[in-house]
Amino acid sequence: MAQIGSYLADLFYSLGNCMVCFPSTPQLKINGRSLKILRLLGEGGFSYVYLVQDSSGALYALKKIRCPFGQESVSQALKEVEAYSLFSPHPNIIHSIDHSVASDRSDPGSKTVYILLPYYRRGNLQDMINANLVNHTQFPEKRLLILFLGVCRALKAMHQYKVKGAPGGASSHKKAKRVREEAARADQDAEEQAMGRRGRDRDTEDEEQEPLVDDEITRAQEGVAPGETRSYAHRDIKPGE
Amino acid sequence: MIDDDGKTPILMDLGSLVPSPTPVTSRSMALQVQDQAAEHSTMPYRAPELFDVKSGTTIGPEVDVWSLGCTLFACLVGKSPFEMRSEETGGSLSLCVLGVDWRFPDEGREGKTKPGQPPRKPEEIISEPVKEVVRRCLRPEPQDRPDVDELIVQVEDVIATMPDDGAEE
Repeated sequence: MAQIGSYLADLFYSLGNCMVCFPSTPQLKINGRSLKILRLLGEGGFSYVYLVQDSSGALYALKKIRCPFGQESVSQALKEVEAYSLFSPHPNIIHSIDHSVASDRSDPGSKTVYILLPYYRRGNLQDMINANLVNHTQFPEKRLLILFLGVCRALKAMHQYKVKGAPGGASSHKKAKRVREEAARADQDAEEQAMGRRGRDRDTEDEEQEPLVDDEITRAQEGVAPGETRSYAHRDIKPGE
Repeated sequence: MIDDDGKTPILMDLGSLVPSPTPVTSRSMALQVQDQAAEHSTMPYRAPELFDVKSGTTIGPEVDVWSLGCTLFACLVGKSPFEMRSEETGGSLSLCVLGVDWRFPDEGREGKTKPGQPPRKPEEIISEPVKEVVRRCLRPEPQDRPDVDELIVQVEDVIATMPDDGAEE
């Protein structure tokens, strides 16, 4: 009898283990927010975009960007968050809900950036173009132009951005600056961690880490008085955006 | 992205954003700008001035207006004007862009004469004012393209003249 008892206990134990090893849905925590990963929406070079759900059932898109030291910097990965903060709120520009920078446990020089974004179930213009091609349908011209006008307005906000001006004012500017500082700290930390391990490789690494001054978003505003225009170009407008 | 109401577009992926205009003061900077464009700007939508960046020039926000023209065309026809042209001619994509070689499907030699193609239904015809928006955005010289304010006015004017086609649904 005691044997059966221990056999059952074993069984439960191994079942319990199984549940831990293979949870029904993978979970993730971003700044204390629990997210269930539902599926992969898309991927690019160093990044993946997942459809995720929080505990209340709300859906989001979660962008995960791997930043192996020396290849992709946290500053580059967080650049889009910096830009979203700068132009927010704008009805035609996406805003980021939250973001975090995590260190790889096995390799502290490697960082992973998570960016939580709203999820749009209708997809993008490219998805609509594809649907039109498949169904042999077309955009009604007026509807298309109304969409197009919205994209033009988003671009206007970038091309004619005024330092600390409308619509988010100084607070958006401050937020963007904080993102930049956070990214710089993470890159600094990544560098120290990587240097700690690699020691003498330092000289060669330094060359790779030269920042692209051209890339800076908030830094480009230095010397531009509040209210003055500091233009930005998007440089990658396409239906898939 | 399209907002859930179906009418509001949401621009995303600002990873390619750069301060603009970018003065290109040296040969090495020209190469840097060109590399950056090659990495971040999608080729069928990339403006010609980003393919061969010359020192002593300035890269401005006009590159976005070009991409807007390509985007509008793609929404009307199904793909970027230069992707379409390069598939038709078998020429390289970059040569089509640099030569500003493109056309609407119902214009020029190819369009109508393709054998076996059913005649176009009236709703498939792209109206002249919409074509004009695309043409202006795709002018080869950046300074000839409308700026974003001029473009907004033009598009608003076109919308105002259009009959209701269910956009308010």
